[in-house]
Amino acid sequence: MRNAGVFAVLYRARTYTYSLRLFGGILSLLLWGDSWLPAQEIDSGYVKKQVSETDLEVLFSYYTQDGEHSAVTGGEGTEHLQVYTPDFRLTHAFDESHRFYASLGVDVISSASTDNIDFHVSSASSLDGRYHMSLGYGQKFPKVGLEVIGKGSVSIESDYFSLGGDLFGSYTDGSQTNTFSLQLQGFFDDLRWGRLNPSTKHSPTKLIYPEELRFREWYNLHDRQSFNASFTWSRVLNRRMILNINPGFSLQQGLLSTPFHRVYFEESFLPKVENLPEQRIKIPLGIGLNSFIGGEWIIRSSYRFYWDDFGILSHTGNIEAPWKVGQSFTLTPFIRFYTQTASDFFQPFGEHSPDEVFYTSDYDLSKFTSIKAGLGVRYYPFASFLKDLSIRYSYYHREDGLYAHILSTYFKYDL
Amino acid sequence: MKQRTSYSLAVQFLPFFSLIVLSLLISACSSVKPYQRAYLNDSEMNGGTATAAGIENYVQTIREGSSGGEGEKGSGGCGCN
Repeated sequence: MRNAGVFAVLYRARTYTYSLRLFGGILSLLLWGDSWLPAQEIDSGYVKKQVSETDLEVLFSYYTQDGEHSAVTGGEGTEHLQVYTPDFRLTHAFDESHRFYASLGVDVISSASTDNIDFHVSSASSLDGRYHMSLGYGQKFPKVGLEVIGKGSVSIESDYFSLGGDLFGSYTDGSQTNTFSLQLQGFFDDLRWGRLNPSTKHSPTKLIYPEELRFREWYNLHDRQSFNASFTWSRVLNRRMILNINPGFSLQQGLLSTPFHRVYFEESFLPKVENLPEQRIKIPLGIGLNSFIGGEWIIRSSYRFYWDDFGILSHTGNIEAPWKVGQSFTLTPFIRFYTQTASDFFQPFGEHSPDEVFYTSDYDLSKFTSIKAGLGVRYYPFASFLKDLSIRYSYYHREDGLYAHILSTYFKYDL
Repeated sequence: MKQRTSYSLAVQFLPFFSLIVLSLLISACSSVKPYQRAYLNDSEMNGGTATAAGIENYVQTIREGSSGGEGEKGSGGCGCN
């Protein structure tokens, strides 16, 4: 009987084991059965495509200045001025190679010195606006490292109209060590007043001279052409350094004087309208070095040498030091030094000789040094609708007493 | 005249010093593999001027007698120098 009981237990254990094996087999078939099945060819219709991207950049800037050498009043007088500049830029990438660019903005200008064109000293500061827009298209050729961008622009204010064209091309070699780029710009400007005035049926009619000097036409032309060529060679020196070299060339022709600038002469109470040559050649040469120091600091340094045939020679030194505080924050202190010689045609108030052919008392063309310093804060979150947020403040001071505060806020959205 | 003399000397020696600096920098170049470009690809290493500084460049072109070079605004397009 005892042996019968043992055999019964053994029989039940063997049966239970067989059940477990059967259950495990069924389970593995369910989980991994497809690997046992013969392979099948499936056409999913999947095609790799670049998702189009649209970026919107919004820039708000506030600028205020004051000084004591307004060119409107011959080099003496207030230069108080405020400018508000909302600016919108749209970039739409259709795919990896094709992009569309558009920008629209307005500069709202409140200028005390502009009042003095007509000697409305007791009135509120004159208000003016400059409206500008541009459209462009760009294409990349990744296989050969080329990129080409073409843009057209237009800007208009009460006494200035400009049509512009911009062509940009760049080439990057296969190792991405060298990048060469060339930018060509052309501006065709008209300095006549009237396009924003209903009384002239929005037609340009005349140049705006100082009120007491409108008894004659001081110039026999009213247009200006400007052509700029800028070349950049960017070279990677090592894993942490990039060198940039920027030679340029500019040619301006036409009416280069400002019609409402007064010039006073020795032993004479009656001023004349500013008179400058009808051609100007400018040659800037810039060099810059960007370095990544340690794991958090970047040093962006640059120097520019400038010469033109108005007699101005200048040197510019600029240093920016972005500090990557955290994963998405950067603090950027910066400082800029500038010095220039005076133009051959500049003299202070009342010091021009009556025999001079070309003359100006615009202190922008005088001998001076200037300094600009400030701080920028940047926030660039990952995986967010807001891609970039920057706030930048700078203080500008010029040796002749002109000073300015500049505040800019910048937003970049991924639409 | 004194001012012109000092700047004339600077102009004469500037190309010489520039060539020395450039040759020293360029001779120190080394090739960088794609996986070594983490620092170079950082947005703050961009050689151009930040968009937020656009109005500063505009102001400098208007309030100073020079323009162009190193990402600054060129001549024309507005009632400025």
